Amino acid sequence: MSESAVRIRDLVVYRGGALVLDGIDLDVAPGTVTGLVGPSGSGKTTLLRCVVGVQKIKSGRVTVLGRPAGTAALRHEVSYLTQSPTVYGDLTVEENVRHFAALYRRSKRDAAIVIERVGLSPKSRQLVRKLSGGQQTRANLACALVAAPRMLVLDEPTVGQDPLLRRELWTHFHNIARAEGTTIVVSSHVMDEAARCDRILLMRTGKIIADDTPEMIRKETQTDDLDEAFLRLIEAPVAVPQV
Amino acid sequence: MFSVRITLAITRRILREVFRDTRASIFLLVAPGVLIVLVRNLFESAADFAPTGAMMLGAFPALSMYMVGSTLVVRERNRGTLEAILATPASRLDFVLAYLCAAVAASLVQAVSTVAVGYTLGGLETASPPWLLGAMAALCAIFGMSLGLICSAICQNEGQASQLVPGIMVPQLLICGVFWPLPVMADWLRAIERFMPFSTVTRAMTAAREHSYGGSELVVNSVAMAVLTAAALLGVAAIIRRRTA
Repeated sequence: MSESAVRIRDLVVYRGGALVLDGIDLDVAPGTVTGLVGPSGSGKTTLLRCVVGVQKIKSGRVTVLGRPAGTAALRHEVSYLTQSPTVYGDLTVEENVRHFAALYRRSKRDAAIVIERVGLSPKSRQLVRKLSGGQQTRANLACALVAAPRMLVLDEPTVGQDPLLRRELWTHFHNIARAEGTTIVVSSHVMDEAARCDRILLMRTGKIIADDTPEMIRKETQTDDLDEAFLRLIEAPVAVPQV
Repeated sequence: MFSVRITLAITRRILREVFRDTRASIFLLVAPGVLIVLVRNLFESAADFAPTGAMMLGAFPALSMYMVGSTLVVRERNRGTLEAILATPASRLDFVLAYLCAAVAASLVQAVSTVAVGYTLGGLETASPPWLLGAMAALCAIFGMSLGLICSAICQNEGQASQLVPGIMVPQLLICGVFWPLPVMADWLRAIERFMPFSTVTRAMTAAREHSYGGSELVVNSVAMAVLTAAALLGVAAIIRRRTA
């Protein structure tokens, strides 16, 4: 039994005086794709920020790849895609990705490969601010992927992407999890995307209220439609018993 | 603590961003020179202009780089790029040193253009050679940028940062001697002038004009500028946080 890639114990976080994470316990197995779903404001982004180690926490422990989250050595191993693009608008796609490549000690070739992978090769010489929102997200994703990290934390990476590209990106996420053993934690508010994860975590008001494989969640909520399952779980007065 | 490779990568990125916009880069490089020519023509002779002109060689680059610096950290924070960079192996020191390197590169180019204009179109004459005033102008510009960066690190948004210009920089500029000669200013204003950070700029430039190689007055004020620059940059490193609420 290998050690967990992420181990969270009794994590409590307040933001602006409000309780955002209410005693989270979680283990994520290495080399898996874990989907984090839940209504907006349920604490998904905050939980991801804790894993990356950029969130101030009230109490609890977050261990990533055997080290406390956010420690210097981990920053070579973990890369983080924020929800709103954090690329430089006045730089081209190529310049942005090469910049992040340099921060992670990767080469220009690595940069070209990930630009190709997110489908931006034809746009690589264009200024990022002239791209569409979806293209900016992809440029940002390339900046996160270029690190070739052991752990990838993605906050809504497929928002604003067309279905074809969404499918390609998800295939890519699975490929790097399988082939390179990368652990991926990805948030989404689209349930049919979460269906492609090895495991789904459903959050509501700072707690994880369901934690299972997509198949088991369908079975427990007695529906084939994951969106319906999502609604049933969210609206349930008491969380469905967890297995 | 920091890595040369990472620092240079961030430096390149900052310079690209600052100079990408042609209008902005022309403004940055040419504006101090244009101001010098403008002010030169307020005076009747080059000799009358010299005291003011020498101070302007330092003051205007410092002010223009302050303007650049004062929006940069605020912007990085608001766009989320600061958090993104600090989540990578880059350290806070890398980040601050990169801004320093970018300031050095930009200020050297600016100093060459400003000094060239000052000595030709401005007809400046100084006891020290032009290259020394050029070097001093660059130091002043780096100092100005550091002041801008620390103001920027304190501010929540770009609006606040721009408010600091009339709030902090304009008063210092008004009583530093560029607009009105120090000897004829009220005593209490001169007392304030003595302790303003920005006065190091004008005092150093005046020393370089009056004495060959400036003497001890130049050394004292240059050291003061360097110390203030270092303090401001360390302040920036201390203020920015990897972990936020």
